[in-house]
This record gives sequence, structure tokens and C-alpha cells, in this order.
Amino acid sequence: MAVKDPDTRMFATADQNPGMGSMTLAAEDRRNDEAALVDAVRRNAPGSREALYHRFKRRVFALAARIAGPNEAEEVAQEAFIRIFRGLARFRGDSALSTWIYRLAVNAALSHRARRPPPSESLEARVTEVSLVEGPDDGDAALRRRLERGLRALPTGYRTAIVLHDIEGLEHEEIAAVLGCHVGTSKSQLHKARAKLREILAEDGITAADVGAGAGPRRAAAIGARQEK
Amino acid sequence: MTSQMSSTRHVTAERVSEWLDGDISEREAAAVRAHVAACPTCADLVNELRGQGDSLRELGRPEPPPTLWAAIEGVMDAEDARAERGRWSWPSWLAGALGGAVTAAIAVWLVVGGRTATVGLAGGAAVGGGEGALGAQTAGATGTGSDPLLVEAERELERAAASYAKAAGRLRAILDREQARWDPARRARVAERLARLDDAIVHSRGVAERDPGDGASAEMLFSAYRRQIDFLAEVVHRGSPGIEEGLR
Repeated sequence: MAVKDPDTRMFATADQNPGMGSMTLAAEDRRNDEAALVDAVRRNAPGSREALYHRFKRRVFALAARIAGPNEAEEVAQEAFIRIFRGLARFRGDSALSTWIYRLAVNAALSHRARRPPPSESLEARVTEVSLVEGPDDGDAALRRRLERGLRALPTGYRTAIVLHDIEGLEHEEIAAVLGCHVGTSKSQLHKARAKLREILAEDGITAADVGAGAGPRRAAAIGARQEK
Repeated sequence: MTSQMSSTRHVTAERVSEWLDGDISEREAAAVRAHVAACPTCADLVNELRGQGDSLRELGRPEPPPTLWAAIEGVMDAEDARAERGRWSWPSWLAGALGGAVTAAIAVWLVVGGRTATVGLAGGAAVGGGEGALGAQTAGATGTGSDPLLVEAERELERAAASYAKAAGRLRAILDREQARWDPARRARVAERLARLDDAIVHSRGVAERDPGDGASAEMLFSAYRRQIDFLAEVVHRGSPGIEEGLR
């Protein structure tokens, strides 16, 4: 169940090109590369901000969309990146750059959500289905939409933990650093979140066959058939 | 724990999740493993949670809209430009309008905040009238009742809001002239952002109107106005050739 997304371990333009997963750099190279990029941004070197943006844009935008809500994602991501660029002068490198950026993005999303609670589920859900899930409206796309809707129905703490761990692929130690909590709290929130999400999906008619291991084409056909009814 | 693992009681989803991640002791894990091996229902649950994890992993990350970088770059460029100049050069009429609005807002904050506390202590609900600070002209006859201090505070609040709106209106007039020369994509980005800021003002105004005695609501409204004016001022300023060049 421990999920590790190789995209979080990639170099340079990985955020732009998820297919470049094989170009993983060693940790030392990555740290040097990040340090060089941070230094370039601090010196306001031409193109450096944009390079940092492209490296992290999908991670920040996805977090913003899933924690603050898809309708707020653009505004939250903008706020997060502005905080990142303003705060880089104070970044001491105590944690990985990605962990620090996740922390700022999560804080921007949570504070935005506290200031402006999401609209009614039905309205937000309709917008989400358009903005977060791309591609044809087949069984898999329908399942992804329901999963996104299920995530939105989770309490904020649960949702943050499951998004960071199961979707973004962070370790509990990283999540604890991002959220400023204990590792045990991160684990506890994650396990409760998974159990709650399963309940929500069951209420939404998602069965074990739909999400069961190896369901693949079977669930696509099943959800597609139910949609046609 | 051991009772949960007995042959007659199913394993909870939370416990299965802990087991799958190796977050329980070996002794507890052995009990879960034994139960799952003998219980088809719990074996299904294990498959379901594994599949749920697979499905979440497959969700991936949505691509941000192409306008996002332009918006961020615009704000950062404006900050850089301000830093280079050392000081933001507000037009005198804008500084005057905002100065008046801020002064009025502070006065309202003090008067309304203090007065609300007094009213609350007296046990009254006079400030919850519903017509509200920004329905100003009728405030004296509705929500605030006959309390002269609250009536005066609401008038000040209305005057402050009007000052902000006036300043924003003048900036919008300049913007309308400036953006006639801009490309459609940039006009669209600015229009979209302004629409969001307008929404925030409408929302804040609604909150302030529902509870005119709440100083925090008034501050939220003024904050929304300030964000709108900041954005308008930046956009108008960026219309100058030097900044425009920097945006390319």
C-alpha cells in the first residue's frame, strides 16, 4: 500500500514531462541541482523563477486543487508560488526543497480554505469533473471523478494526509515535516482517511470489483455499463 | 487487538491499512494475516484497499492552466519594479482617496468594535438587523435601531467603502483606456482576475451586511477592496512601456 510516485524523485523538467521517470538522479546530484536553482532564483537570474515554477507547478497545482478545491486551485497555486519566491531568501536547506515547497503549498491551501470554505458539494463537484479529470468519459474516467469527489468529502486533515502519501508519494517523515506534526499523527490520519474514503466510495456505489486489485478493464466495463443505465 | 483478530470478528479497514503499510507489530500482523487467510470478507477488504491505493496513485496531477505562470510572473515583476524604484509612486488622488478610506475604516473599527462589545454586554441584539452597514441609507431605520453611535459608525463604514469604490472606479477608467492597446489574451487574464476580485468584494459585502456590528467583517471587506486596488494599480502601472517590455 505504501505508494511512491517516481515523479517526486525526478530531476529538472520532470514536472513538465512525467514520462521522463527513468532520468532519476542520485540524491546528491539532486541536492546540488536544487541548490544551484535556489541560488539562481535568489540572484534573480533570468529564467530561474520560471525554471523553478515548471519543476514544481504540477505538484503545487495538484495540492491546491485537492486541498482547497478545484475552483480555488489557480488562485491558491499563485499564492503559493508567490510565497515560495518571496521566501526563498530565507530557505536554509534544512529540509529538501520539495518538502519546503510542499509545506508552503499546503499552508496556502489550508489558509485559503479556512478563509473561504468551499461551495456546495454539488456545485463544486460539477466543476471538478470538468477541471481535474481529463479524457473521455469512459469507466476509468468516471471512477477517477468519483475518487476525486470522495477525496473532497473527507475531513481536511484526512484529505491532506492521503493526498500527500497515496497520491504525492511522500514518506510519513516528510509529511510530518510538511504539516509540522508527529510521524505517528501522519500515520494515524492516513489510515483513518483510507477507511473513511472506502466508506464514502461504497456510499457512492463504488464496489470492491471497481477498485479491487487488478480490476482494470473489469471496473471500466462495470462503471461504463452502470452509467449507460 | 487480539479480540479484533478472532475468527468471529472481522478486521477493520483502518487495521488492514496499518497492516498493509507495516505499521503494526509483527505479532499483530500475524493475527491479521491469519484472519484474512481464513475470512473471504476480510480478504475482499484487503483487495479493496489495495485497489483503492492503486486507483489513487493513478489519479496523477492535473496540468495547471497556461495563464498561471503569467499571473505569477506579473505579480513578481511588479514587486521587482517596486523594489527597484524603492518606493511605490501612487498618484496623489489615489493616495488621498485611500488615506481617507483607511482613516474612516479605522474609526469605524474602533467605534463599531467598542460599541458592539457594549451592546453585547447589555444583552441586546440590535446590531443583527440585516439591512447592514452597506445598505447605509436605511441603516438608521433598521438594523441599528436608535443607537446613535452605531448609526454614525455605519455611515462612516459606508463612506469608507465609497472611497475605496471611487478609487477603484478611477483606476478602472484608466485601465479601460490602457487595455485597448493590449493583446486579447492579456485583456482576458486581467478581466478574469478582476472578476474574481469582484466576487470576493460581493461575498465580503454580504457578510458585512449580515452583521454590521462585526469589525472583522468590515475589515474583510476593506481587505477585499485593497486587493482589488492593489491589482488595478499594478496592472495600470505595468502598462508603461518599461514594465510591458519586462513582461515579454
